[in-house]
Amino acid sequence: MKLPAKIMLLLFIPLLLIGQSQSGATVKAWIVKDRNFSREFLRKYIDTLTKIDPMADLEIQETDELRVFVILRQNVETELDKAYATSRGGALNKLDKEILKQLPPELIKSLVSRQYAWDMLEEFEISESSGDIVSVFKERNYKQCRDAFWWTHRRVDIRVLQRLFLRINPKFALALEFGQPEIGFPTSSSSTMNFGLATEVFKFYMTMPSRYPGSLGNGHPLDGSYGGGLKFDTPTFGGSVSFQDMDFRKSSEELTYYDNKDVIYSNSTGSIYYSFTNRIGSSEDEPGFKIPQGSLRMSFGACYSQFVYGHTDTLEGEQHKFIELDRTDPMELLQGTVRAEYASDMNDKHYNKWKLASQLNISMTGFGSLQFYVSRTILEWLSVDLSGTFFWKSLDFDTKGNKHYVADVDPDTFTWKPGWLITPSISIYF
Amino acid sequence: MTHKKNILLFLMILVMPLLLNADLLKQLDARRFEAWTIEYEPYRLLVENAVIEYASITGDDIPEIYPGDILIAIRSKSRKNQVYQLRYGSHVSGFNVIESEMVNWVLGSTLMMTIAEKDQYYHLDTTAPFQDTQIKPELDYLNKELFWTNSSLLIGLSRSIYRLSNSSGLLFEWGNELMGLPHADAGTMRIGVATPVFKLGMQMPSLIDIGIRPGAEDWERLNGGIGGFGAFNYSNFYGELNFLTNTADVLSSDPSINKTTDSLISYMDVSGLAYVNFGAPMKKMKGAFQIKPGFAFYRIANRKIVDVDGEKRLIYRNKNRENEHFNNANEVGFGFFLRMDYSSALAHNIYPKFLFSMQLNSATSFLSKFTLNINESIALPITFVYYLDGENKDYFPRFATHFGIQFRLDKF
Repeated sequence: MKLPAKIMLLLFIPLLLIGQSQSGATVKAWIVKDRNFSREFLRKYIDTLTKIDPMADLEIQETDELRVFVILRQNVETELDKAYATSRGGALNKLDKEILKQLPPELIKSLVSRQYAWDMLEEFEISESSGDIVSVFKERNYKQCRDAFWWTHRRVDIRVLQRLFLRINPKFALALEFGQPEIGFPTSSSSTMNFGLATEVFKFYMTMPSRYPGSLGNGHPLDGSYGGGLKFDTPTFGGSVSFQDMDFRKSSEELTYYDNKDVIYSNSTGSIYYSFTNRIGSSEDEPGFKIPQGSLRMSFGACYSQFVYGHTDTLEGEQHKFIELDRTDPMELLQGTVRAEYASDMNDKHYNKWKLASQLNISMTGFGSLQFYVSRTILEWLSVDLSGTFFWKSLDFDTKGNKHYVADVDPDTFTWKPGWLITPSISIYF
Repeated sequence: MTHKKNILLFLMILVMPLLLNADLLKQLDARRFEAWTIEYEPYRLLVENAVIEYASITGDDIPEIYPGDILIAIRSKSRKNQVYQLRYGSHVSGFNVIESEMVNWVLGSTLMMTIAEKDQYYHLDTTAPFQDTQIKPELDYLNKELFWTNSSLLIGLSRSIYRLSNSSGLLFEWGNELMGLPHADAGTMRIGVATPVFKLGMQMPSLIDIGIRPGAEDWERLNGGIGGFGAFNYSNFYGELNFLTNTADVLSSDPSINKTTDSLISYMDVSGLAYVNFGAPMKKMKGAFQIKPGFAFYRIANRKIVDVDGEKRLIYRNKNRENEHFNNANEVGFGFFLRMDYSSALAHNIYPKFLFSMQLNSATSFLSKFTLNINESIALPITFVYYLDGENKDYFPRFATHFGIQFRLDKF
């Protein structure tokens, strides 16, 4: 359902309900999958037709697929509206209503009672559809989009140096992901690596410091330390919490700092969001520029993070290596987030040709980021990806009031410029 | 407590189910079938709609699936692309069953195959269809009650949940019982969201100043702070992670600091727990039993308040409030975890008359808890805690006893 259609539907729900109760009629459609039943039905239809008109042009065959449209009314027996026979070549032939009336009532009753193997018709195959049909096909596509970004539907999914998912069994996967995208610092803009367990609904991981080597740009990424976190995601809402602590780091690991004179890391984060999914795009048959048919998931939410600034010089008498000089105020980095994820429908080779995502994070102070991700799958096992992040504003840390501040050594104010970063990559699937 | 005592206690609790003659899960049919509950909401709604549609098309008197119903799909291990049976309802009011061929009539081919592909969506494995229904409800009650809830609204001192839907709710917790720090002993309370599978939210200093702790001095408790927590309960695995900090911003408004009446504060800034859950119904005892072995860890941050700031400190006060020295301002504890829960038979098939739990978190405490359900709406829990290092730590009492009260509302 497109967004305007959704809003219209909400506005007119009372009218729709009144309208439904007045007419009380809905149309249902399906394909008969019980081949014996459809053969039997079509044979009787053809027999009746040839009896009435022996010269009739028989476009309909016993082996055709039968499509049924019925009208449902409250407290009234289901009524056959129309039926089609679809040939193996895909030609759709409507069954003559007059002939249908000549068929035995028990046969029609069996047809409309649907007590045989059947299947839903896809939305585009039902011309009477208002576009608001909730179908299993649509939900499966929604889930593909969600799975593509949350984890993977493949056994092994490696986005080189960005993430790795290894599904050890259908329920659990080992997950390794770089960055903290939920607070606006994906892949290369946060020197953190999350390693843990991923499932359909949650990820439970420990965080480790890392350094991402393959980015272009002028950004000063967040530094990382050891910690942990938990993320969850359902079709309608999700969230996360995480923490890191510099006390867990040892001096021998200082190599992974971007600049050990100016270290910034996020010691705690939290996020929560609401999401919904729509169908977008047009079929490949339509002329001109078009977005391939797929699912668009939109998320709206808020996230919290606290950044700590300091350096790693060792002061006499101190047992820890990281010296904190300032940290952001509790509400300073409370950000609103909007995220859009798009995945084109899976093709017959079971992959999504296109995957796109973009996320905007913005705080009350104007600090924030815009991130994007584009992926084009070329082969069943290979795709090329490009992702990036842009921070339009710097963040000031005031060190002068801190007890660890050393005049003539520490800057009075440190201005952190996260800048921009672009990261090309490839993904390999098995 | 010495390690030998810990091991002895561990062994005693381990063999207890054998002494009580607990029944193992009957899995006769489970060799041929597998069953799971459909938890992925969009698919669940599609099944609900399909049942309504089938009833209106055929005129059959097939009952609707209600939002609170458990919806179970069963497939044969030899035909994994088909749903053999659908069951829906509750353990209290019973289940409706849609049998083999009719499943296809109700769902249609694609929906049936989608539901049969259980590994492609959010589901929870269940053994409910393979067990004797006479002895099953207690285990289901325990599974649901300890992480999630059996009620629409649960209000209690240690834990409250308001269920927003079948699979989500708002959560409040006071203290952290699984970490061995119930009620005020943890110095924190937590608010967040909960589902049958995970919970997540923020921790904050304990604002509550009610309850009795006979045997404990008022200052013998941890301080609070601001932080987050997350926990999951999935496929018999449980894990949780908690963190908080108490910085200058928080200290000035931290109500838990007043309780210790001291400039020396201690708070659990990081803690975690993981365990595996084994459960069995018990015929002779007419109830259900769960045993949960695992491990736990924590880190206590010892700080001194200096000008509304928390500085690392290397001194602490012993039980006589005399200064002694730490080797490290942060103390790390690590140990095994073992918990046992018992539920008595359900009265009127709704609630157990009592629940009993014993828990050893060797990083913190030994705890036992008894909950008496007066009726389906009111329960009285009492918790006794023995702190393993209570002799030495100024933030742990030697013993503490906590009284509570719980209200459950289902119809409002």
